[in-house]
Amino acid sequence: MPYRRREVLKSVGVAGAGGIALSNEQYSDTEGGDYPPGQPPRGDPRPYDASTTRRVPDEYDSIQSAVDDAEPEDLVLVDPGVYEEAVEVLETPRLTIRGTDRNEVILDGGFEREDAVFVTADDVVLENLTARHYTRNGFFWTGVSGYRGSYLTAYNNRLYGVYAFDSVHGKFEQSYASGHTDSGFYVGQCEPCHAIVENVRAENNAIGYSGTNAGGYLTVRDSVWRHNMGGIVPNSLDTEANPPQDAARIENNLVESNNNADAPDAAFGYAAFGTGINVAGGRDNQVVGNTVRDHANFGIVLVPMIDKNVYQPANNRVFDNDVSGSGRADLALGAPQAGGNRFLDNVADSARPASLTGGFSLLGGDPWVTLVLLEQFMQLDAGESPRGDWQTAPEPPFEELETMPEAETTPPREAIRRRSQ
Amino acid sequence: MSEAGPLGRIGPLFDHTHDRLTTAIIVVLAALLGLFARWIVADFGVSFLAFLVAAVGSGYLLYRQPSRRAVAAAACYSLAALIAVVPIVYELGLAATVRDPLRHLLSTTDLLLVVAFWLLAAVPALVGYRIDRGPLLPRLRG
Repeated sequence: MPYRRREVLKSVGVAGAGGIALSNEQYSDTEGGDYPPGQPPRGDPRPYDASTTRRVPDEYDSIQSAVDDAEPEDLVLVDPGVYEEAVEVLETPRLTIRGTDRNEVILDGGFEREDAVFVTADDVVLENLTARHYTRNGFFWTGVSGYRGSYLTAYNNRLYGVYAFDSVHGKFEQSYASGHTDSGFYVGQCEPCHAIVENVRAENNAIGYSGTNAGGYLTVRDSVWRHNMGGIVPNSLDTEANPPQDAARIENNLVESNNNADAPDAAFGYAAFGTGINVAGGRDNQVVGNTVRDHANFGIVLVPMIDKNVYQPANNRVFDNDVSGSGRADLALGAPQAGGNRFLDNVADSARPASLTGGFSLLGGDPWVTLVLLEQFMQLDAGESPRGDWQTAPEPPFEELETMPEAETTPPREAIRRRSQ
Repeated sequence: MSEAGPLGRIGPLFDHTHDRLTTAIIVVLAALLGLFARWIVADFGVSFLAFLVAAVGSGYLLYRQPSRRAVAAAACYSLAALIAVVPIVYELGLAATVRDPLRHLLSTTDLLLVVAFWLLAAVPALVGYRIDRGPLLPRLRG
């Protein structure tokens, strides 16, 4: 008999408090992992008491020169224009770089500069900017504690759009990414991450969200992932520290039609082709309340990840999702798997193995599922998989991308509230 | 209506019967082949139908064999046939759902997949042949 926390709560007469209890579950129940997958309640980031606004191009002729002059907690406010530069924030913590108009303040890499904004200082905030045509990434934080990207657009950069690596205490929100050969949004190599990805949209990437070896207080929620090769892909790899991936919460997303063979791809995308939510070698994750539809292979799939080591999915919980229109199966669990993977209360028409939807099966995990994704990986590895060109991928629907309200007058705020605050 | 009824007009299903053990083996083998067929076509939502057709069909095929040895050989041939169609069904699963399926299916990897499964299918086929006809190598040498 599967363990159903909500039924237990009801049975002891605390249904009225059930919503609170369930939301608390996401960060109080570690399910055997080192950290829980969800988030504790956090307050809004607090505005800084005193900061200097440095305007580009009125006071500085480049964003980099304003950054170089800035003190911690300053605001670099950028007016509309195309800025052909690669900005580095290496030493100034608590800095905010903000455009006055999201769609009109454009950092352009010209297909020769590496990163639009490269950050190694703590608590740096990037807001209301567009980055395009960089040979590595759009917005990139690495090795930091505290980061936030809000109202960002990244498109047609070679690797990642909005990217946090080896970083903790962060948030991506109200942002858009398309046309990347790896993923639109990436949170990698962090445990615990203390990170949130919410209200974002990823299209036409190899992968919408990728999270290699990332987990612990990590939530991906309320976002749209569509027309990528693969949708949401938390994964375990030996090429980054601390495998396996452990404890992320993927909640209330719309994940649809991630079957885009024309999306750019280089590293991993086609291995996840035609899958909506693909937990590749992850453990202790929660996949809850998502709408997942119209995928060529699998809607929600847990599959082993084969690198130098084989990472088997374990102790993942998939519940209350609405999955439909999958070519092979709405719900899938590959073999080998390490056990403890539970599928509860999902709306789905098909499953591999059939036992995921209450049918009969001799198998705990289905080797057919693994075969599908392994074969696609082999095609990718051999350079035979279909793919598009990142330099000529479609441009974003700018008219649909909301700009930051009152960007000129809103004071700069801290990146994120820590849990202890 | 004749005394033999409708079945009598088209003749008996089998011209022989098997002992209980052989019949039990046939039932088990037919069920296993049915389950294997069900697994292969699960992508198409016809699992039960596939199980039914494969189990009944292979049950008929096996029961009509004259001896237990021939039953075992026929079961091996049936298994080989099912393994051989795995890559075809596998490719159809994607071909039926993507735009421009040839971009996904015409690759060396796909060819290797077909070859791998056909090599795998050769194993039960050769075992079946060995059971049915005796050692293979002396025949080849002869």
